Parts: sequence; C-alpha cells; structure tokens
Amino acid sequence: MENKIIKAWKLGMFVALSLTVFLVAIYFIGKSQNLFGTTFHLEAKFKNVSGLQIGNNVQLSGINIGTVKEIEFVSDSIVMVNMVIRSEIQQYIKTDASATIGSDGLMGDKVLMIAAGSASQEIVKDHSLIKSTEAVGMEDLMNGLKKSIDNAEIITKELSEFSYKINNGRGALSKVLTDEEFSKSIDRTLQNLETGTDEFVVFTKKMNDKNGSLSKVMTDPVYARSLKKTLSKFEKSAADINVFTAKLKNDKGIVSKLLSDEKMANDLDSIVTNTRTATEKLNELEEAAKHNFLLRGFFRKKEKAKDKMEANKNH
Amino acid sequence: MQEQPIINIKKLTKSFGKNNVLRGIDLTVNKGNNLVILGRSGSGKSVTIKCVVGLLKVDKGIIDVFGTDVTKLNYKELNKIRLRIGFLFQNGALYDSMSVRDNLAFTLKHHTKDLPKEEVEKQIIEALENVGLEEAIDKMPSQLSGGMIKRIGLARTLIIKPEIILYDEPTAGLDTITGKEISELILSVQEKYKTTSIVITHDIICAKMTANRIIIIKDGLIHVQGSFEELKNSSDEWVRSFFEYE
Amino acid sequence: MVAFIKEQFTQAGKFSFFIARFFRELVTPVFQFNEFVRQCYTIGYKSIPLVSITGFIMGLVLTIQSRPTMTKFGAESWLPSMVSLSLIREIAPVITALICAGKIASAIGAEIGSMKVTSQLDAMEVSAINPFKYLVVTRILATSLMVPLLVIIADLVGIYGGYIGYNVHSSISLMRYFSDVVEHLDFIDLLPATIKTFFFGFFIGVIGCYKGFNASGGTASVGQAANSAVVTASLSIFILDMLAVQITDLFF
Repeated sequence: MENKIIKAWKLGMFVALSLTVFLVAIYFIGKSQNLFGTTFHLEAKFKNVSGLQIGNNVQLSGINIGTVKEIEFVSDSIVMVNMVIRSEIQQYIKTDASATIGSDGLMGDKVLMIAAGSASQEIVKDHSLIKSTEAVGMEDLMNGLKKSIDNAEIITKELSEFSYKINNGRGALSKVLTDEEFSKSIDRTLQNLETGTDEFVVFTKKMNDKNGSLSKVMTDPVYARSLKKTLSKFEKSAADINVFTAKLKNDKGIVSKLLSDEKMANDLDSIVTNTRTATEKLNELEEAAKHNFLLRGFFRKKEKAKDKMEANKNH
Repeated sequence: MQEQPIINIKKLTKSFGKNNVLRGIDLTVNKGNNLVILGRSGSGKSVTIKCVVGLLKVDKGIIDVFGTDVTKLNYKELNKIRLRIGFLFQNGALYDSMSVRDNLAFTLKHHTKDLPKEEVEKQIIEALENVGLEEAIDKMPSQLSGGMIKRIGLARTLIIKPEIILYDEPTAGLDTITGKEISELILSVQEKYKTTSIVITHDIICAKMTANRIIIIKDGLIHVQGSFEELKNSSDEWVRSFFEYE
Repeated sequence: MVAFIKEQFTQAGKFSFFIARFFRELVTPVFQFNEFVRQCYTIGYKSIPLVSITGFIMGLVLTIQSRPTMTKFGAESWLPSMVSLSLIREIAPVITALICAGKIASAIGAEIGSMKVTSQLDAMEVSAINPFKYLVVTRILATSLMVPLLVIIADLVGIYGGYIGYNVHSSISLMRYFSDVVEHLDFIDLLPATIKTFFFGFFIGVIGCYKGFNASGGTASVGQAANSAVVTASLSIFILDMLAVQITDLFF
C-alpha cells in the first residue's frame, strides 16, 4: 500500500510536469501570436505586399507588437492587410501613422513596420485604416544596388588609371608630388609671396590713409573727374593706337613690312651685318691711328682727361 | 439431494480445424460427487472442462450447469456462473507478477469492491490455511515449488467459495508423495465446502483416492464409465491397461 | 503465394478486430483504474530517464552537427530555432516512439505472451475477470497517453541539450535561447507533432498487446511475440510518421 502511494505521487508529478511544459509552450506560442490578452485591429492598403504572410510580425520602433491576421484583395490592384496588435500599444499609434513592409534581416521574414505618427494627433481607433507607404521590394533594391555598383566600377577604374599616371607620368602633378627641386621653388615662391603680402599689407595701410593719394583718388570727386578725363583721353589714345596697329597690320605700311615681310627682314639682316663689319673695320682703323705718332698726342690727352674725371669721381 | 445433477452435458462436440476432438460426450455429475475423467493425452479431457467454464466455444451440444445452458449465455451471464465454478489449472497459472497475497486477493477484490481490508486479509489467510501454506503469503510465485504452486492455485479458487471445482491434472508433474497430498487436499476441500468436482488426471492413485465415479474417454466419445473397482476389473483390456501400475 | 497473401489479409483482419474490440471494451463499463495507473507508472514514469537521455543527446548532437553548415550560410543565430523545430516536429516524437517501441512494446508483448502460454489469461477468464479489459485496454490507454507526455519531456530536454550544444562554441543565455526558440515556434509545429504521438503510443500498445495476446504454444513464442512486437511497432511508427507528415502537409 505504501508502495502504491509513492507510485501514484511519482506518476502524478510526471503527468503534471509534462502537461505544464505543454501548456506553457502553448501559452508562449499563443502569446507570440496574440491569441491571449486584449487586442485591437488596424488595417492598411497596399498595392504590393512583397510576400507578407499571415502571422508575420507587426513592429513599432522595431518592437514586435502584433501579427498580420488577414491579407485579402479589395480590388484588382489593392490588397488590404489586417493586423492584430496588443491593446496597450494603441496609445502610441496616432491617426497619421503609416505602415510599410520591410524585412527582418536579409533572408528573414517580412515584417509590417508601423511609424507611430506625430504626437499631436489623436490615438487610432479599433479597426481604423492607416496610411501605407509602398514597400521597397527586394527587386527595386537590387536594381538600385546594381546601378550603384556599375558606377562605382567606372569610378574605380578611372581612379586606378589616374593614380597610375601620377605615380609614373611626367605630368605637372607628378612633378608637384615628386620633384624635390620643384618643391623647393614652390617654397621660395611662397616666401616671396609672403614678402609680397607683407608689402601689400603696408600698401593697403597706406591706401587706407585718408591723405594718401590713392585714397584721394578713391574719394575726391575732383580727382575722380580728372581721372575720368585722363581715362577718356587714354581711351582715345588707345583708339588711336588701335588705328595705328590696324595700319601697322596692313601690308603696305613700312612697319608692317618690317614685321611681316621676309624679304625685307633678310635685307635688314644683311644691312645689320654690313654695319657690324663696317664698325669692326672702323675699330681697327682707330687702333692703327692710336699707334700713329701723328695722332698719338691727341689720344694721350684724351686719356688724361679720362683719368682726371675718374679721380674727381672718387673724391 | 443425493441425486441432484449439477452438471449435465449432452451431445458435446468440439473440433479444432479438421481434428474432431469431442464427438458427442454425455455426462452427468451429481451434487457433492467427484467425477474423475481418464483418457490418453489429447483425448479431449481438458477440452471438456474448458467448455464447461466457457473458455472454449462448443460446436454443438448442451452444457447444463446449475440448470442453465452455459453455451447460450452472453458474457455477463457467463461470468456470473463462472464465479460459482473454481478451475485449477495444470500449471497452477498463478499471476507471476503478483505475490501470493495479491494472487488470492485479486479475484476477491475484483468482485467485492467494498470489502474492508481486514476481511480480505482474513479470507486470504483462511484459504491458505485450507491448503496448509499460510507462511507463503508474501512470496512470489517464482519462489514456490511445483506442489506449492498447485496448492496456492487451489487456495485461489477456494477464496471465491465455488460450488463446483474443476481440476485439470492436479497431480501432473509432481512426485508421488506430493501427488497424494494434493489428492488428500481435494478430498478435504470437498468435505469442507461440499463441492462438486470434476478431476482430470492420468494418475491412477489420484483417481482411486478422489473418484466417486470414473469416466474414460476414447476417440472423442465416452468409452466406459463406472466405479474404480468396476473399471479395474473390466473385461476390456484397453480399460484395464490404465490400472496396471496401481 | 495465394495462401501467403491470404494469410497476410487474415492477419490484418485479426488485427483490425483486435482494435475494434479495444474500443468496444473501452466504452463498456468497469474500467480497471488501478491497473491503468500502475501501467502509466511503469510505462510513463519508468521511461523518463531513457527518454530524457536520448532527447538530450539528440538536441546536443543536432546542434553541434548543424553548426558548421549554418555558420557557412552565416545563419548561426538560427541554430536554436532550427534545432528546436526539427526536435519538436520530427526527431523527438520519432526517437521517443522508437525507444518506447523497444522498451514498452517488447515488455507488453513478452508479459502478455507469457501470461497467455502459462494460461494466466484463462485463469483470469475463469475468475470472471475480463483479461482484455484488465490487461489490454489499460495498457493501450496507458501507452496512448504516456508516449505524448514522454515526447513533451523529450522536447524540453532536447531543446535544453541544444542549448548546451550551442554553448560549446559560442555563448548565449538560457533566457535568450528559449525566447529565440519560442519566437519561431508556431501551433503548426507543435500540434500535429503532438497529435501524431498519440497514434504512436496507441500503436505501440496495440501491437505489443496483439502480439502477446496471440502468442501460442511454448515459451519460444513469448520471445517471438516480444521480438515481433518491437519490429512491427518500430515499422508502424515510421509509416504513421510518413502519413502524419503528409496529412499535415496537405492541410496546412
């Protein structure tokens, strides 16, 4: 009899334990599908639900708040999605909330994501229809991705050519980047520039000085008028120069010939050569004359005067 | 009272497939009598008593027990009759998953639901006292010897206080002394409870001790019947051959 | 050949009658409650250690074995839900049922078979106790109810084994693991699997009892009954499983 009581107790424990496990499992599964507890319904219309299925999760701010209960056609191009959401979430969803279909990871299930809407709006009612934003399908995503990848390919190709040229080419940039001389010269340029700017600073200071002439130029109406006059004269003379250069360009003018006629240039060249030869000969003649006794006295006097002049200069 | 028939079998036939085991048995057992059935192995002795308790379905014939034909009864009615009949199996047929006490209590508890525990215990001890094995109450059948198993088996049938006891080879497989003890037990039980019995045996000593009347079955028919002395001195040599080793 | 086929049909017919008798005896009064509880204890409680160990090992091994493939796909985080799904839907029911076929069907076949050949069944019969009701109905009912419970235990322990297996190479908290498991579970995963375990249990009991009840002849037939009970029960579990999966697939 004692034995029997222990047996019954053990058996009871076994049965109770396994039934509890079963019921707990049922409860948790039911809970994840919102079969227990109070719920409310929302609806949204889509053109394309991208494979959303009954039982998929509904998320708000990334938290599972319910499941998709029903998906049905309302017309030939519109699908109505009905979702069940836990009641305590209702207060966070406003009338301007919108639903989007996304996916839970790259390979995961589809999820219906709800954007809560603005805080100022009223809370949604049971069975109300909320806005929907069309889902970005995997295909669209892939097409976009492909375009980006193609572009990236072109860019990288060019980039690689470019960098090759930089490394091996003789272009300016290469020089900029590699030639030491060049960098030194740039350094110098920069130093000069610095000096230049310093001076420019001084200059601008002067310029800003009210009594400075430049300032006057800038501010004094009289100056301005005279400057204007000067400028108009200058303009006129520039116009004259224009006419002159036009004439100059004209073939018949001598200067024009000088600049453009080849034959004349040759002539001119030979003239210059002749002249040079003549001058040399003259020099020789002069030298010969220096040594001539008749003329020696004249040259000596000339030399003395020169010395004297130099001595005066030193003093 | 003396000549009141308790079991009355008429034209009993039974066959297994093409083997006609019983081909028209007629026998009557009066109240308080011991009938011994002799016969060679496979002659259909056991089949006869199994038909009486309804373990086997008869092909034809009437088995009248306590004035009702058991072959026509449904299961429920048959069970009522069965409670008035004890059956001792050849091997004792104790439930080997149960102790001796549980073996005895099993039937009793099953049929008398609201019997108090003390009363059950009392009846178990009484039944064991009748077979002289009170000390074996907590043993398991596997711990018992062949003779003890037979006696416990008898105690198990006695506990429901049957009016008829059917013994299927009660002394088979036992030594002569134990066999005699069992035969004495059969007699003492009959004295005490005024039961009517059918004993099936090959054992002439057992037959001599227990029989009021003996029937010998041959080829599915009753070959001869009479008292021990009559048959022993029968003119039929085949009948006399049963008594040779007495 | 004809005789052989006829024999097979006879067997099938006998078996069907046996099942029909079970249901008939089940609804007729006098239910052997004590024996039923005793059988539940032997079949259910006593099998817990065996079923737990196999369940645990299946969960552990399945997780460790699946990890390389899952890692290859970068889906290692799916391991808990995948392992628990396969455990609940398929592995725990079938393995537990096979273990029970080995342990329970053989025990029932041998027990009833030996009772049959030593005429204990007849002894019951003549004491006006219906052996079918007492032995067969209680056992079939006990297996039908206990095997599903054992499967639930195996599920739980197997999932825990998966947790241990997961933690061999990476780490996850028990809480996170179980919430991951529950999140991906569906009634479709749990209910058909649970319903089919009732059938597994039923057939383990029926086949064990049938083989035992129809043992005949000497003690050799007891061993034969036990052996044939195990073989037939195991085979029937696979066939039932296939049917169950197809039916589930058809409706859901």
